[in-house]
Amino acid sequence: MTDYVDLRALALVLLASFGGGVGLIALYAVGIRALAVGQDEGRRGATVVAVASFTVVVAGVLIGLYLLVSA
Amino acid sequence: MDPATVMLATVVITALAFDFTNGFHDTANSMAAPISTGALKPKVAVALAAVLNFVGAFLSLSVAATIASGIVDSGSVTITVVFAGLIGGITWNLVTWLMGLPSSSSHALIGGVVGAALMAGGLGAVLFEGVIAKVMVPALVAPVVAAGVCYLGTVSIYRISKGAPKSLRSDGYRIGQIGTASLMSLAHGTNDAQKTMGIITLALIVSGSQSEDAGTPFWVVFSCAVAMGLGTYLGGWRIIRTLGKGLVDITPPQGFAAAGSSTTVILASSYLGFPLSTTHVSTGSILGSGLGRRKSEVRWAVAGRMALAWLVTLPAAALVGAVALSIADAFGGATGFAAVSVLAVITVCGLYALSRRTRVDHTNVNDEWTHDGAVVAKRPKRRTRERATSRPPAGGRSD
Repeated sequence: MTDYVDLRALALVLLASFGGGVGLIALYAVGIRALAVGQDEGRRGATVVAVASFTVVVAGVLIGLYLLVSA
Repeated sequence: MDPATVMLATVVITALAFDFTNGFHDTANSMAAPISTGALKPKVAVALAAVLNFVGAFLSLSVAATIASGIVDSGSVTITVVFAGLIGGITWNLVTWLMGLPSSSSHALIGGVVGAALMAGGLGAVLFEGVIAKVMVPALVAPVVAAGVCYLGTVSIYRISKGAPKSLRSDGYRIGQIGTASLMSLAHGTNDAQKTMGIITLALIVSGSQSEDAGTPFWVVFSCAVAMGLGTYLGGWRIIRTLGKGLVDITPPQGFAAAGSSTTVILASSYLGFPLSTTHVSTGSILGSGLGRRKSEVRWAVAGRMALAWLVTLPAAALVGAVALSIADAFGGATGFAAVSVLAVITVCGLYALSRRTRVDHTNVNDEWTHDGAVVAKRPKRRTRERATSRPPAGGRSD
């Protein structure tokens, strides 16, 4: 920690923002892509991937809600 | 009614007025992207944001009464300093709203309090290390981090969902935006309404109306939630327009990336003890969404104006706070508060009258951005307007 910046907190914010933010956004995109493949080609595996991706994203939103209430 | 009660009542009303301006100033942070992409109709978006801001205000009371702690010497904070600080914050919020520029309401309030404290107690009243650590560093960090997260998010989205049908992409990302923007509205209500609750509680303690360990009364929580919700519902259309149309023309995937990035950065920073301004984060995210999509135009002139407004926020609000304190002190007591209040009302009316010249509301918030360099588009003359209304209304972009 310097006089002006709490470097540890900043590092954690960067880690959580880039990991969580980019990760969840990319996962949502995977869900959309998998949904498209499932619809077009009727592959059950793709639909499972889509459901799993959206479930993880929803879990991420719920974690965010928990952080908000408990902060 | 004795003068002390009049002064306390004036501070409470002024704090609620600040909360109201905070609400409509920051509606854009969560709803500019969903409105711009057509994920939500403008009126529906601000209504949703208003309800969630109202609910959010009840979720947590942990940061109440901390707005200027570590920034001004607590011994120099009097009820007059708090009042003058609020006037500084409100004035700067309204000036930036008139210009359609998103700027941090928290920084405006801190600026107002710093200016009033400087005038009341001299240089020793301001803790400059705190100003650097809590205002300047976060103001630099917030847009850069948010832009970085959103840039990578936008690039990922376009690469991953490249082969998906356009309609599925548009609908999917529009739904996603509604979820993330809603969470952000909730977070805004939780974080920002508490600042006003803290100020009112502080005023109650300083005036001797409440003991220090009594906590925040329910009527304070409720009235702050109502003021924030009403302000949000009014919708700061000018700022929504600048963020949603002026900075970048946002598509649904970009809007989802921007809302998702903003929400993640805000929640992570609040939880990990490195609070960042929602305005700076949202603006950075939208900028990042423009950089992350090929052929997307980022209007750097608009971004430059925003950056300039952020630089000026603290000194400008401080100047108004200092002037307000001088006037209040010159008259003294309740008379001083009344004089400043009258001047503030005149200023608010003047700014509102100016805003009517180039009106921006839910009917024209999504109109195409003009390239004449003006942040707020001028309303066309009647004949041009009639011709324009014969065209189909401008909605969100598909992709």
